[in-house]
Amino acid sequence: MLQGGYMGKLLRINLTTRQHVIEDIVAKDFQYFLGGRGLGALWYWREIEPNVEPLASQNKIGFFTGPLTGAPLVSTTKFQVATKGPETGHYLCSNSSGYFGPRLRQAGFDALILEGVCEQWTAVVVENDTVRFIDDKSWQGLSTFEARKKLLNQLPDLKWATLCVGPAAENGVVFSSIFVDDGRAFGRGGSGAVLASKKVKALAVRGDNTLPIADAEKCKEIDKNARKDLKISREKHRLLGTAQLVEIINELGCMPTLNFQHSWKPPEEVQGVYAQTLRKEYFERNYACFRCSVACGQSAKVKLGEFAGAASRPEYESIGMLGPLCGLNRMDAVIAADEVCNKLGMDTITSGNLLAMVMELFEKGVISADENEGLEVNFGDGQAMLQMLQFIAERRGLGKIIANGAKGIIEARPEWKAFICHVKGLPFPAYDPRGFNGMGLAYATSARGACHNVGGYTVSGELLSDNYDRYALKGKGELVKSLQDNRAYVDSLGICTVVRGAYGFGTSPPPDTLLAVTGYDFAPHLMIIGERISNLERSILLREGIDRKDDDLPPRMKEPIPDGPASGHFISDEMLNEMLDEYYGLRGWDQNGKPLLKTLERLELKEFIS
Amino acid sequence: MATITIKFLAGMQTIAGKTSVEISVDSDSQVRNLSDHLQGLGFDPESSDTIVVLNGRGLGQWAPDRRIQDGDELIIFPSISGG
Repeated sequence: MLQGGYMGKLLRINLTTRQHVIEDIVAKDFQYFLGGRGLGALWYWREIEPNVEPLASQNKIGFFTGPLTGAPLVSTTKFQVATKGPETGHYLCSNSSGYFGPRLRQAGFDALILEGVCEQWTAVVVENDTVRFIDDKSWQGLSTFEARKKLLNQLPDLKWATLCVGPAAENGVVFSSIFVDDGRAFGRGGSGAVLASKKVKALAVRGDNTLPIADAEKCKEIDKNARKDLKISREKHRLLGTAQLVEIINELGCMPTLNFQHSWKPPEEVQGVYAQTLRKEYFERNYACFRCSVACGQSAKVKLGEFAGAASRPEYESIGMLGPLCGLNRMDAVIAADEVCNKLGMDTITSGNLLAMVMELFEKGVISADENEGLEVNFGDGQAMLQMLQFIAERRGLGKIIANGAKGIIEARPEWKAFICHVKGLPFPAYDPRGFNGMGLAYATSARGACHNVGGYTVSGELLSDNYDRYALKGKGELVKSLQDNRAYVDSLGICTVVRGAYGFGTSPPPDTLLAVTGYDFAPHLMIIGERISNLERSILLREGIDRKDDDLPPRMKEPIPDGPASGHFISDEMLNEMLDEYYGLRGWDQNGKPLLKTLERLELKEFIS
Repeated sequence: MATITIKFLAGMQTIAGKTSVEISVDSDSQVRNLSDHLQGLGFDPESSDTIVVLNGRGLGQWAPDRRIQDGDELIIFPSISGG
């Protein structure tokens, strides 16, 4: 029935024994969970016990592709990681672009599982069905970029894709990332620390297999049409990238500023981190992922001044959280901080949040430089920020506490709770939900903690709906449920969300793309598959002790925004509860957020999780 | 006559060639008439690639017969997400 789109194989590597096995993946798992995030969640349910500690040897980490990953279509670049995440202490899913997913398929696999722990630091090299290890003590301490370079220098000159972790992961920083190739990342949740806990510094993969495609001619036609359709998106993204959102979100009064004490600043103050500034003063070239014609990435370099030489590809979230959130409205300093995070291998969203917390604690006189090896870190101080990032990665000064993330900080210093905006341990992205109530519900219910992707990006919907506006409560449950289920299946496909519109992967997707690739008409089932994945992830969270009490927003969200276009708005407990009630009801969950038996039966999920 | 401000954000500035413009509309103009003004400036408010906001709320969320008032502010920006 499935004639293409899958290799049908999983590669499992035991790092303790150095053995690997190749396992079949049954077609039913693909039919019901598609691939990518869905397949990852199913694997997690089956193999990760609820009491496993994230950085213990019993934890495992898996990488999962979707039916479109590496397919001969535009932007088929995405793949997913699933593991128990150290930042939240529960289920983590994260997606990345890059070449690793497509190359894994060329090696012959839909998924790669790592279990056990190496005796010493190593790099894992997968080439077709062979696996080898490059043990070397000198892996330790290398930056992500240095590790990639060292690894590629030891491999024949072929088309390799790589994953690397930095010094932060080695030191167990719970928000350390895995860097994919030379510029993308599994950013959130601390998957880098899990990889490092297994003493894996890097992976490389390549292969000579070809993904089976049900109807190659039809694929060519779909690819041609999608590329034509993407011309508008290309123009929109290529020139200014996602950095455009800085100006937009600030104008809407929702730009997290000075650790969420404000949500707006006058444009003349913020324009130093606008996309136009990035383009005019720092832009070098666009960056494209696998088979992408959009090339939304903006490679930037600082040429003059105190941060001269710094280079990165800053996206909106990184600019927002390392910029205005930290009182820093200078693009040169933001590029420098972004580069330091990338080298050390740390999530820029969490890093920005926790730096801003430190800055506010200094501002309010709660902490002093004596606790931080003499380093004072104030809002707007770029140099101090760079040093503090280093402290976190090395667990020095206050970095000893900060490296443990929001949950660890609150455990050690409960009095700092009021200064951290997070849900389930994952700090907020760059949208203040007090200006978009739907974002509040999205953050509260996202399967991995506060997230604008997994939780649902409601901003456009809340401005375009005829039925409600951004400050309404009614209707947000339906919006968030729909966005989450849509996103869950898109995350399982293996394509970039920037281009999904070109294939029609919305709430009523057309059949052609998946029919051409797999030979199976997934289209009528995609939103149900998304809903099934959402319910599977919720079942995982419940098994790990997460329920309604955790679908909460932090204290600062209950305070009114003091100024700007969204001035006076807040989300009280009552408001959140009203949205949660609607959301749980539409999901078919009980009042505690647990899927009802009839919901599991309707989604044919019961047989998988009983 | 009522004077309103239209701000072009991010990528829309490239199309408009400016950051904002003030226009005068008849005093009996209504929200439903704003589409004509935007189209006259080269923007299609119905396009899925464009979002138009009036005084902080989506243009379509206002009653079509709401009277345009002096000092009203429109912002127009590309539909974009991610990062």
